[in-house]
This record gives sequence, C-alpha cells and structure tokens, in this order.
Amino acid sequence: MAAILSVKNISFQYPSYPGLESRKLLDNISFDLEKGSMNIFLALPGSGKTTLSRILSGLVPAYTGGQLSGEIDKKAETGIVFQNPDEQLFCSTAEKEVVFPLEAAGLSREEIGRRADMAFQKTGIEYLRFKNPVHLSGGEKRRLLISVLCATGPEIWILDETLEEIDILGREEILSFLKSSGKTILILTAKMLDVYKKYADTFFIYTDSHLKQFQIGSSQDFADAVKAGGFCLAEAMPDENSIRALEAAEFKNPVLKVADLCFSYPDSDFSLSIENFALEQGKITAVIGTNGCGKSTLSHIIAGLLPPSAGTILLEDKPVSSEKLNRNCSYLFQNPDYQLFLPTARAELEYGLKLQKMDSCEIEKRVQEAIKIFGIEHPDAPPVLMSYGQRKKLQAAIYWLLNKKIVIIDEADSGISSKEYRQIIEAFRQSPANPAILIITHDIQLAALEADKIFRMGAL
Amino acid sequence: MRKSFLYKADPRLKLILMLIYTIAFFCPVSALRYGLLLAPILAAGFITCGWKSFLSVFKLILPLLVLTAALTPFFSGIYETIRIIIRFIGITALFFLYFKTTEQDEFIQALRFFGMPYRFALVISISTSYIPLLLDTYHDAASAHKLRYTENCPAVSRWNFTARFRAILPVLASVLIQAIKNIPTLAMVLEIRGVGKAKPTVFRPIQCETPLYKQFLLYFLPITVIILILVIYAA
Repeated sequence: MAAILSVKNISFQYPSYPGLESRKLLDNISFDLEKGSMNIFLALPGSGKTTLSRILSGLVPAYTGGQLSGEIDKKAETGIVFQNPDEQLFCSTAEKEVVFPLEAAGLSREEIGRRADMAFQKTGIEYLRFKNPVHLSGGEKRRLLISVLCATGPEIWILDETLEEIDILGREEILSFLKSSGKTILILTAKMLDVYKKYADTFFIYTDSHLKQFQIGSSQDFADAVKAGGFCLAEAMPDENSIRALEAAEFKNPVLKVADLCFSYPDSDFSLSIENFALEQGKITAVIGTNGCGKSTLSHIIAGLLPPSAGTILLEDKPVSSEKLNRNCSYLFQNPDYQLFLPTARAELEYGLKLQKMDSCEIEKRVQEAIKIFGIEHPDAPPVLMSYGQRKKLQAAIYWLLNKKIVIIDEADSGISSKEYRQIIEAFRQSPANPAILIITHDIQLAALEADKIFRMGAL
Repeated sequence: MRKSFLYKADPRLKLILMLIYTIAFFCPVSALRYGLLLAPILAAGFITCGWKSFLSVFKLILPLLVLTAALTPFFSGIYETIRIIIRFIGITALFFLYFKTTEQDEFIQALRFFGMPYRFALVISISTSYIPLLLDTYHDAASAHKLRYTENCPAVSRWNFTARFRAILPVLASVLIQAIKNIPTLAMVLEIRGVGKAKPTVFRPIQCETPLYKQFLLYFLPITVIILILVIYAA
C-alpha cells in the first residue's frame, strides 16, 4: 500500500541557551505511514516525540527555530493533539472549540452543524458540548481535541501522549473509533498500553537513536524490545481478585481521616460525596476512577486547596485548617509549571528550604542530594527551557526536599517514563518524613504494583 | 439556574451601552450623580451573579481601592477620592458583567457588526478571554505556591501586609511565565485551526428572544437618556 507520509533521514536540534546546551533530538530517522493505518510510536520522554509530532505538523522549526535536516513527503493534511491539552484550548465552550476551525474554513452553517454533531457523537462527549473547556478534566479535554480532528477531518492524525490520562473504558472507545475512522493515525507515547495491541497495525520503537519497526504478530521480538526500552510496568494485567483485595485493605493508624465529605462547584452540576477515606504514613493509596469523577477535587480538598461543603477532615486525629493542610501536603500537579518562577532549577530547589530558614551548607547538601536522586540534568538551566519531563522531575524534587507528611501525585506520569515515575514514588517512600502517599492514576498496573490500598471512585 | 436578563440582552447593544457608561464615568459630574450611575450596575450585578460572587470581583481591585483611599485625599481631597473610587468600581463592574454575560463568539460578532475586521475582532476577543484564563492560572499558581510552605516556615500574620505582598510576587512571576509561554503556542494553535485560510463564516449568529428594536426601546434608549440627563444636565 502507498505511503501517505514518508519521513527520510530526519535529524533535528533546538537552538542552545545559556546553561542549556541543546543536543540532537532526532537522529537520522526514517519511516513510512500507510494510508488508513494505525501506528504507535514508542519513545522515552525527552527523546523528541513532541518535537517529531510538531515537525510533522509543520510547526517546528517554524515557531521554535532549530536545525532540521532530511525530507518529509506528506500527501495529505495533518491534524495534531498536543501533549498538554491546555495549550490548545482557547474558546469559551467545547462546541466553539469544535466549530472554530470549521468557521475559519468558511463552511456553511448546515455543514458545520452536521460535522459538529458527528464529532461529539463519535467521541462520546455530547454532554460536554456547552461546557467551558477550562472546567473539564484532563481526559475530557483530550477527547474534545480528538473531536476537533474528527470535525475538521484531516487525513493524518497525530496524537501526542493523548491516551495516558483517559480512563480505561475511554481508551478502548477512542481507539475503536480511531480505527474505524479510516484515517492514518500516529500515536506518540512513552507507555505501551495493552489495548494498543488490539488496534494498532504498526509499532515503532525509538531507543538510543535507533528506530525499529514491528508489525502485529511479531510478538516475541516486540515484547522484548518493549521490556528492554522500559515502556511497560509489568507483562500482565493484575487479576481482579488482587485488585479487590487492595480495595478491601484498611489502614489501622491513619494520619489523615476524611468522613462524610461533600463538595460541589458553584454553577455546576458536579458534586462529590465521600463517606470515608484515609491515608496512613508510609503507605501508598491509589485513587482510580473515570475521567471527571472527582479524583483531583478530592485531592485538592485533602491538600486544603478547596473547602469542603460538609464533612470532617482530621490530621493526626485533630481537626485542621486549610493552612495546616497546605503546610502538611505536597501536591505534584498535572501541570508542573504553576510553581516554577525562579531563574534556575537549583534556585527553585533551594527556595522552599530558604523559607524554612535552613542553614546554607545544609541547603546545598540537600539540594545536591535531590538533584542526584531525581536526575535533574541541568540544575543551572532556566526551568522554563527544560523538557516537560524534566520539569515534572524538578517539581517532585522540590516537594521531596520539603519532607511533608502527605504527598499527592496527581496523574503525574505523563511526560516521564514508567520507570522514572516509579523512581519518584520510591524516592518519596524512602524519604525521612515517611509520608502517606496518594497516587491518582488511570494505570491499574501501577496501582496494583505500588499501592497498599486502592480507592475506587465512579465506575472503571 | 435561571439566567438574568443580561444574558438575554443583545451583545451589540450591551457593547454600546458599556462604552456610553464608561465615558459617563469620566465626565465631570458630582459624586452623587456617579452614585446614581453606579446603582443600577450594582443591582444588575447582584441579580446576575448573587451578592457573594459579585462582591468577590472587587476583591481583585481592593489593593488599588485601598491605595486610592489612603493616598488621594492628601492631594485631591476626600470628595475627589470618592469619585475616583466609584469610577473604579463602576468600570470594573461594567466590564465584568459584559464579559460574564456575553459569549466570546457573540463578542466577536458584535465587533464585526460594527465593521471591525475578523482578525482584529479575534485578537481582541482572545485577549479578553485570556483575562479569566489568567485569573484561573493565578488561582492555580497561588495554590501551588501555598504548598511550598511547611510547618517549619514562620507563620505570616494576616495583618503583615509586607510579607503578604512579598508572597504574591512569586505567584505573579509564575503567571507571567505561563502567559509569555502561551504566546507562540497560541500562534501555533491558530495556524493549525486554519485562521486566515478562508473567509470565515458564523455557525451561531446572534439570536435574541426579544427583537433588536424592542430591546432598543425597552432598555437601551431609556438608560442612555438617563445617563445623558445625569451627565449633560449637570454640565
């Protein structure tokens, strides 16, 4: 079958900045995508997936600078979903996001309406149509961006780590839809999800500047390459009995207890109700559930960032103020950039310790330790120029230094590999503060491997 | 929740009314007349958002109001200070209510109705829609920064304004970095959404239950006349 997209000997390097010497991201890679095929491109974070997706979409180097060599032969239009959906959404309603490119293309009202209806129906988010994208969950935002592609209808769809934050049922639904769409799909990811095997035609594995291609069926070689590349946590999914056992587990001496918690947002039909929830020091609790079920809301309440409408929160058996919760909780946000503001990564690491009036020698020693444990590659570089994965690690290192009683890790696994994610969890587990760790995840394998208790919200 | 009349009002008439009102707040009239201009805006705000939500808008300009109240009397007297404060409150409330009750798309259409080219209208609309987005970013950044304090950090008194002001600076820096980072990304997004490739169309043209001429007669004309009486009669 003819290739709709042909990439030949592509290499790319971003410009260098003070403190951040750029390296070659993509090194002489070549591949073809066949028309109508579904392709999974596996590569570790920081290896150039996002850059490749933007090169294929014509955005890099046009908007970023840098040196690109090689040839790209595109026989059709491309559409892209960014790794961070917040960067791509700017309209006031989900419908407007879908309709905007159709209006810009000068289509008639009837055609726009028909395409928008079809897009919302096929991606299963008709119920979000008149909601403000700002208020959607990470998974819902990604579904919305897929709806935009569906409505605009380019022949080649490029999805940059799009399925990671979508719940298990949602992934199955979206992949099934993508497969039946007849479009050429390229999914770039750092995680080998089991469900890909069911739908993908071709896998590309990019490690150590080498690209290998696998067709379905060439299983043992492929499985070995996936394992060697660190793209999966475990070979098999956990069985339902072990999940149930983890759900039934109870903590004997919880550090934090939540009872009869209720919460609702003003001007929204969303409401959260939790009868009992607990965290224990030295133990890991994984919260799993569908997109939009309130996992992040629960963790915001626990961190004292949202006041509950009703219910009690006890820290070490005492009622607590939101400020006390703030001071006892670390929260690794989905977006690591909210708290970065200093000129270097090292200054960011030192900041929290300086607030504690710690001795400067002690600060230097501890910061060096954090840099080593979390693998911060350029401690003297501006965080804003670091890769997404490096910024996530920096955020984790900042909190690790603060030694708080509770650590909340909110779907922090996009942009970093499974191995690195587990290293972050392990670093917190080994921390002298022996914190209670709360992981919010869609990854049932991760939950089963790491957690001492699983707390399920909504259906899964 | 039932939406107030402001949501149903035509965005074009609301836009002109907002501009007339803004000009009126800069006219040389007494504080009492400023108060009379302000009263219906506050009433509309309370009906539209509820008093708690509406008052929270003014928390954002509270430092500005406090500074004005503290410093202006020494230079211009108390009477002028009251006028300036009413002006700030009135204009803030006006713009807040307009953008609260008008969809981004309706705003673009209103601007285009008055002859503004599509690209200019889009730029203005995106800029205004970024204000609430920046506000959301500010709240997220403020939350993230709160969590950088530990039990070992000295407690900050509510009344220690210097310390509280210093604590805001890192949050503002984070928001600024986010905003600057968004500029090239937004340019990319507009390109991949096809802006500028064809003559744009409109999927949902402005539609109001009450015809435009009725709205003009029902509220636009009477309010404009009252504003003119308050302003011109005084002059």
